[in-house]
Amino acid sequence: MKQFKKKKPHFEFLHKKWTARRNGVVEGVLDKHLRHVALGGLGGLVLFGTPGLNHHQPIQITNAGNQTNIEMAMSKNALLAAELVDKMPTDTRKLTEAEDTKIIQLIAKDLGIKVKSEIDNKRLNRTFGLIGGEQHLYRYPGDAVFEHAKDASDWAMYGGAGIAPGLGAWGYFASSKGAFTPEVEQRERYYIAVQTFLSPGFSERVAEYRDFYKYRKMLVVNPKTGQAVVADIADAGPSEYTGKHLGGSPEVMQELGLATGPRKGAVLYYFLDDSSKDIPLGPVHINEELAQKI
Amino acid sequence: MIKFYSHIVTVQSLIIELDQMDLSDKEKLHLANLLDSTFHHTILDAILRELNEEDKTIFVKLHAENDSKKFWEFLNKKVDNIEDKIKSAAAQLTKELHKDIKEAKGLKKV
Repeated sequence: MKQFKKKKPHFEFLHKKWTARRNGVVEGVLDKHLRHVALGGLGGLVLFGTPGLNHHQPIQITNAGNQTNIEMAMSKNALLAAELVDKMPTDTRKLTEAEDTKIIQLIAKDLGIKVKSEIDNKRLNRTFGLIGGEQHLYRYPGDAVFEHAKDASDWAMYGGAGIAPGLGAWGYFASSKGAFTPEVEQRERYYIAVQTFLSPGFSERVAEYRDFYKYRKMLVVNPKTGQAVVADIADAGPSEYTGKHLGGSPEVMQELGLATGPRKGAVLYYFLDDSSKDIPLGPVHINEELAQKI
Repeated sequence: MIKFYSHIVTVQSLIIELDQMDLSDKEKLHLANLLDSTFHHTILDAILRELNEEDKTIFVKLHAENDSKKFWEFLNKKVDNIEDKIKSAAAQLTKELHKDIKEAKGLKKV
């Protein structure tokens, strides 16, 4: 922390004081309460599974046999990325149907998630494109960016993105704060904006397409890293002139490994098949059953 | 891991204060992690001090199971007004942290 000294005494002060305070309370919990709790690793879960310190990990796999969860997740990330290498074009052009088919098969094999490029004769203008970081969206009347943070770490990670001045394509996510639920919260947290208006047939059947796209789940994959997130469509955009093809919430960008630097990158995006529609929004967690087959 | 107290504890007032300070993204995250960790362990302390040794073991097991309903049923059964006790511990900590922030804001660059 030497680099902060003198330049930012307020940070240095809080860093020292809050580190000492945190260490004191952790030691207190250990000494006073858990010294005699004979649970070994379970005690560790309470003490070291601290919110904010470890909740932004890449894809995790549970019950991974001889490998640790992290090793297993990383190996699956790496496997998907490695298998995609020779199937991706060097530029972000539209993929052919044959290319989509191969990639969809790989995703099913490696992540266990069935996806489609077309459902009910409706498809987006592309399945591979440049994603850019978006701001948070207002979820209900009176919402504010600070309300989006689950805790302080959440604010530090995502608060800086700010909140868009206008509403998302479907308006508020909930009619009031009272009607706001954990499910609605997840919709905004893991939203994407896609170019619905460029879908073949959109202009002829706007209402039908709007209903089709509203909060529809999609799987977004960073082909370079294999990181994947289940997101829902909550906005329309970006405009064609931007050169980008879709947008991701701050949390989506984080889970794709694209939250830093230029906050954009090439991604694959497919509709979740009906058989996968119950997969929760958020980073892909390979379930126990699948992990056992791996 | 469940954040079992998120419905009764908020750090929003502290976040608003930190947001007004001249901090880089890394500095923000560092302080935010310390803040969350301190809240977490302060709340654990507030709960564990109310439990006997046997119940502490059960508490740790239930916490690891991530079953929020079962977890709160246990706490409500074992401790009178547990939510009030958690809120009180969090409020006291919030007050102290606000005092720290106020003091930090008063420091001048060297």
